[in-house]
Amino acid sequence: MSPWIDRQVLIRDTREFVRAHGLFLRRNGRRISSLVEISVYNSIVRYYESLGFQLAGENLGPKRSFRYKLIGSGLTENHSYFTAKKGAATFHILHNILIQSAHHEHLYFTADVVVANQNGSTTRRLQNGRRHSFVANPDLVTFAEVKHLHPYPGGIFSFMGLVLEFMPGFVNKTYDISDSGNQLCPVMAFTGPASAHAELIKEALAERYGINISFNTSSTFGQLTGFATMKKYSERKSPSVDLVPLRTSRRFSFD
Amino acid sequence: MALDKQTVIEALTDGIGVHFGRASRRSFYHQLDRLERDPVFRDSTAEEQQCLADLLALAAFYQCVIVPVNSSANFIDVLRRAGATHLRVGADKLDERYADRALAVTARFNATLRQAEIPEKLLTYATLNHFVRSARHLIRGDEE
Repeated sequence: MSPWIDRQVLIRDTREFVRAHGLFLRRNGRRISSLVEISVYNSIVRYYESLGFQLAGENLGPKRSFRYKLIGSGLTENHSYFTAKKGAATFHILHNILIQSAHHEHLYFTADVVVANQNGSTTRRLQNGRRHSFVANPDLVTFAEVKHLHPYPGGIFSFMGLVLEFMPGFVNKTYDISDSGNQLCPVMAFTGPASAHAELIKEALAERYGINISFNTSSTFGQLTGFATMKKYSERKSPSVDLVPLRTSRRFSFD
Repeated sequence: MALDKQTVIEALTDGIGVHFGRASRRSFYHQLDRLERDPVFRDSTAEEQQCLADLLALAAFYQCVIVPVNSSANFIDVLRRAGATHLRVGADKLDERYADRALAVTARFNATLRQAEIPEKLLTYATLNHFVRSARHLIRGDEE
């Protein structure tokens, strides 16, 4: 048996590495979750690019900066995002934005990455005078959730709850999932590698529902890969359920 | 020989700040807990077990630090093609200079891996089962 690592050399080399780059990592570490989300956002943007869409940065800030939206609150017009255009088709690729429930018009959730149709996001004034931006349910094309964690059963099953609330057609199979489509079904991405149990859950759920669960995005530098084998759909025929109108006078917005 | 669970992960994370450090350590100890219950690991010699634990620490660091840093650098490239000059994340400005630094971090870490003859692919294992089997195979060289 001959371990090929000289342990003392490895420890010395890693300490030298940290000495050389620790400052850079300390300065940027607080953005770790954002960096992980950016990787998946980047993947989805590149997916549209690979389909022949022309990308354009919208709402660029001073000196043409791309202003990444860190939290769900805040208006779309104050942050940057990409649009993907090809012929008459336009999609808005947004991040950290509220999406509207398919069941109730005043229930929202902040999804990490959201693709909306040509209508993009909607900004409305609430009764308390504040404005909020969201993607109206009929305009929602797909969404992706990103977890900088090892896959765990609770996280995967929670994602099914989100799909049921926001795009239930992928659970009750009212959307047309076909090989000819190129719109991605909802995506859940974990950066960490999976256990055998998590793999089993993924396979069982993907067999039943129109969803994509991706593990170990770390192995691909945070990028989503395997778009060719991901579940896609061609068109969203109609909202799968009727929105429930608000019955109370008080309105809330959620981050 | 008792398994040394600290030295390598501490060497990797002492000095990189709380955010990257905490993420790497949490990932490492979570996976180590599972590794110690793996039959292949339990069947290994003490020296091999130490080697597997050290590799797992490198994998946790790689996945939690190197991967997000590298992919943020790649995103700057996409932004440029879409007409933006830099990325603003909160108060932080991530521009070409940032991308160069980020890529330098990745290159230096990869050089450390090459020096130790550790294949990058080993650190991006699909499942812990794959990791422990591939790693032990490498440790044993041609003997398996």
